[in-house]
Amino acid sequence: MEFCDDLLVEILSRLPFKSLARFKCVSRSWRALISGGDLRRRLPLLAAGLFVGDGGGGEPRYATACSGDGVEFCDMSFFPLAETAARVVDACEGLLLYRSLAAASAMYVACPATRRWAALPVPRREAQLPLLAFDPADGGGGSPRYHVVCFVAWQERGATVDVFSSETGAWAERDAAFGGVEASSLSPTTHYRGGVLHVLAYPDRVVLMDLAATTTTTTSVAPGRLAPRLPDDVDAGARLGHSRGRLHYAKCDGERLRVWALDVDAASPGSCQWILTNTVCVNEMTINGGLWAASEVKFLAFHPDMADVVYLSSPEGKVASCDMRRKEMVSSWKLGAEHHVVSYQQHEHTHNASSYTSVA
Amino acid sequence: MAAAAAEATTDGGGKMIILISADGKRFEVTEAVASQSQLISNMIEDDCTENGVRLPNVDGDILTMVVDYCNMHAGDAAAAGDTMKASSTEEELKKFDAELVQALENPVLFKLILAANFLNIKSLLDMTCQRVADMMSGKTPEQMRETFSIENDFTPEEEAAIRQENAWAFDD
Repeated sequence: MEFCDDLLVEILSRLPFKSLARFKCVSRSWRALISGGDLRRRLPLLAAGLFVGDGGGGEPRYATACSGDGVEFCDMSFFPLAETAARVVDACEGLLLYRSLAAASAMYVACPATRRWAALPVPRREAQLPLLAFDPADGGGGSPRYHVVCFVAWQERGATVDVFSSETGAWAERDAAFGGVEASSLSPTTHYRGGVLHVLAYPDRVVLMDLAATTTTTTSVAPGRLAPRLPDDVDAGARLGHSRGRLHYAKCDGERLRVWALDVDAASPGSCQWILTNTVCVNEMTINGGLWAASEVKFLAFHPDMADVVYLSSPEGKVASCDMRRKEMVSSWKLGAEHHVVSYQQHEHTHNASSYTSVA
Repeated sequence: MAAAAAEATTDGGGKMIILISADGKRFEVTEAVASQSQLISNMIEDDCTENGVRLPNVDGDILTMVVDYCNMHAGDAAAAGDTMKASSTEEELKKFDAELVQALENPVLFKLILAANFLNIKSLLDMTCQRVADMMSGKTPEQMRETFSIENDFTPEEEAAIRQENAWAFDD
């Protein structure tokens, strides 16, 4: 049976990282496929890349976990401004947003997997708190489709934002309403999927900002939308993400890690509710053959295809993917004691000072 | 099975389309059922389904499965349309999907993947690829070579080096 490379990638991208590492020795062509950009671009999360501080006081760098016992820093040499003239301000699903050190209005988007980069046109106004919104499921094939969102002015229950769309190649201003939620209660934690930027808001709300709508009109007021009230209050470690196409919410309270899924009733799409899908006592999970101190475990991200699998990190820079249903580790990465996982998928810097500086 | 599938669609309303497999079997389905295939959906838009849709790389037995799948899932694709028969419940669909792929031997499953890819039916492609991935995940490289008829083109030294590099992935 001969599968073309595209189909083989389709299948391989659904395998656990451990199986992939094992299958590198099947044949030369399999090794090339597994190590190649096509698959890595589609691989979830940590296999696709993460940020680590280099421990030497320099800027955090982008790295991919490509073998079991460590991570490999991405070669960003294709992007001439990396490390010297620009710094990473955000990352989303394998794309990086850089900002020039010399001119804050100069921004770049770079993709380590395809080794391509692009300069954004200069926004009309000073860009504050830029966010990168990229969904690998959009577009596909050719160049990635993404948005860059800058908050320009805050109102009591909304904000004016400038949105760059890679499709139109232009910035567009729009007003975003927060569905009655006060601007001051937005948390810095966001999640982007299917054209919608999800922003966690204190104490228990998810504000939905529709970015796809901005490509059709230059100025429009988006009706503020909210997801159903969250089942447990937002804190700094709470995260949103998608797994198997459903929105999930995770919160770790120091002992338990709980995950809820937003259940949409097919009969009446308007009514949906949060359903608790998994609870684990973190200190009962065996990770890397040992126990992690529950208070130190941080939730990183959801596995996009396996609803029960989540990524966790420890302060020593260990990262593991864990099956919450079976309560066991699926795979783990040792990042080295000097490494800190800085950010993956979530944007830590929306309101306050950049978290990237805190580890530098 | 094919006859039952064709019969089930005749009361579904809407325009009918004939799909013709590589070995000349004919399947009559509604546009709603057929347009779950992006390929056929595009053809319907371009008005070129008049004389039946020939699918030269899909065998009749595989197309039977595809048509069964599409009939079963036509409800969720057109959930809003009340002209459809009451759509199957989510549970029924899950059961149907599980039974469809679980019973299949690899060669048939692989053919179904090729058909889902060719016809561009994303949900069927997702499900069948996931099934193969689940089947692969605990296996050894040797078993993979056998399953996919792949020749090992590494020298023993090269293979040993790769195994050494990825030693963690081999201990269970």
